[in-house]
Amino acid sequence: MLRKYYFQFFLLSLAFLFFYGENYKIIISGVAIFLVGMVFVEDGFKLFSGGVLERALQASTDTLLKAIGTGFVATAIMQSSSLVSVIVISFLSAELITLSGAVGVVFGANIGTTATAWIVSSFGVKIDIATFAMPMITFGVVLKFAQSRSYQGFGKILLGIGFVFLGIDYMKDGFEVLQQTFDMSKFAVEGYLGAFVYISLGVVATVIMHSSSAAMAIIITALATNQIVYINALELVIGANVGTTITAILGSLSSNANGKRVATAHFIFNAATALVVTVFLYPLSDFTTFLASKIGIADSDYAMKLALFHTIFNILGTLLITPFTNRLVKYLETLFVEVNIHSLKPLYLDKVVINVPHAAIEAIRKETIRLYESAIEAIAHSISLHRHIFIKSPDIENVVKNSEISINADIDEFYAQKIKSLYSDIIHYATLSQENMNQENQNHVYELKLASREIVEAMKNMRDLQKNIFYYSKSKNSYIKDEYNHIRIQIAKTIDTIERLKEHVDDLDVLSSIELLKESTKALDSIKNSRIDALIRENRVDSKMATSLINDSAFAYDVTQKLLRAATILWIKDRDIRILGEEK
Amino acid sequence: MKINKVLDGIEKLFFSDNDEKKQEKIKEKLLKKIEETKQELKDAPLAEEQENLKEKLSVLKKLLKRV
Repeated sequence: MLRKYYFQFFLLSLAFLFFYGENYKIIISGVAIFLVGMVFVEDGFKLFSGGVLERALQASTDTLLKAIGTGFVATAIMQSSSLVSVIVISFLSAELITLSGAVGVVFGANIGTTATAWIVSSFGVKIDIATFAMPMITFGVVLKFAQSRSYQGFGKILLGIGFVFLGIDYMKDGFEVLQQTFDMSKFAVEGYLGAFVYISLGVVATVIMHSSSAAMAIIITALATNQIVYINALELVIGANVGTTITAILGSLSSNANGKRVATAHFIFNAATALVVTVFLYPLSDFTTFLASKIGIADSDYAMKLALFHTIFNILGTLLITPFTNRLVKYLETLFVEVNIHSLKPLYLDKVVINVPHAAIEAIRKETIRLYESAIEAIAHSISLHRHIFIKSPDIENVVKNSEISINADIDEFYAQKIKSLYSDIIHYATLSQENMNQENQNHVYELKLASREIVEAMKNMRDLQKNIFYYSKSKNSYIKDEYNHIRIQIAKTIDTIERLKEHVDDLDVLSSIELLKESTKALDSIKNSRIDALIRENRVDSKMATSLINDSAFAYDVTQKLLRAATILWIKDRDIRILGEEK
Repeated sequence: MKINKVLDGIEKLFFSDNDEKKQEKIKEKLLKKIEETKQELKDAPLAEEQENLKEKLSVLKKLLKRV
């Protein structure tokens, strides 16, 4: 409700400024063009990196220091801490990285985001960057229509940077025009009242624009055109740093516990740093001036000094907060707890994750594994076995033969209550995720959908089998009893082998276990191996028993093959090795 | 055009890996695994364990033929 009115009020204010605020028009247009540019840069990197960025982020977060370095480099290159945060939250949700690694990347991203200030202050306000913007936009548009995804991505990045440059140029022009009619610098406020007013302004501006980079660009262009005084610009920067975390917190409200944890870590980091920097604002400002003189920045070059202050501010924050990371991580883990761990609601299918292909695939895989575990519970019960009795047992045959046929599992009810909704959620989520993926990733998701279908069908196939297992277990005919026990043994061995192969690290070990099992389950193909023929010829079973046995062996064989196909997809990571398992 | 070469290079860097290379890699992995299994077979003390490793070895050889 509030959000709705806030948005309408915002639109009306913008319209008012456009019609009556001739002086602000150019600045607002500049901000809009800048933001469009940022969106293009983000989209471009998603297309262009082809998973490189995701792989790099995943591989370089095992220690806190590495995570900070990775966050810094990734954000400095991509100019978007929000894209890095989204990827990090996605990876965390898919359990590809730890919370401590994710927090480290966010710390690093804070330092990396200061690159924007350096670019704007060193190029943006000093040279006529609009002359670079036009060729970039032109080439970007042409490349955007190329067929190759990498060309398209590169085109979008060029287009984005072109728009960012153009936006900065507009803002600069806007402030210059504004200066001729209206001097904002007369509103300069000194002392801690000024700090309060300008920090609040920085927070509000960043929350409204949803971008600290855009806020930084405005602050630096306003400072370069003398519309604000230096000390107030520093205060605005502090506000922008806090504002960007509020945007992240608002974004994480609909996210899972991991999203909330990362957003809160970001807020705590920036708010604590802002507090310390505000208290020591004047000494820190003097230190910035001192350091600027040492590295060759002119005393009158306030824009560059502001960029330096922004960097010092964030490095200081990292130094202050890093020693407390472990405590922060523990606190965040207790503050936000996943509540649906034991129910069969999706645990990994998060809305944020869906935009990051690598993490989305991992989320779907993990959810499908949960589907498998539940289906296996039902399958084991339908052959009258509890999983803990036979899994990893050294003598499955004996365990099966000596077990009582007493578990009365209702497969239909189990499917309706536990499986159906999770299965639907996986298929729905997987289909949506494919929209953001390249062909290779789409194929992987397709395979995972296939694995889900195999699991569900394997479970459904157990329905008829279960009835006869129960019926013939009471039979006085020991031959038919033995045959049904043989079916139970093969299914139990399949489940057991899959359980064991999960522990293999090498894909080839997983594949060879699956191939060996495929060989042994061929014993279930009763027509092919003439097992039943012998029983009929020797009058050991009647014709009714024989037909039941032929049908049920076929069902059981089908169940084992479906489970093996699902296991191949779920536990062999390398697609080429997975394909090797498919007989030609 | 030079820009095309640069872009091709970037594309190869990020998106390449032709089928032949992939097959070679798998072949190498399989051969390595076969050698490892042979060694394990030599070191295995129990008859049952030896039997399992022999079966594994024959599966790996079958897979090698499929490459």
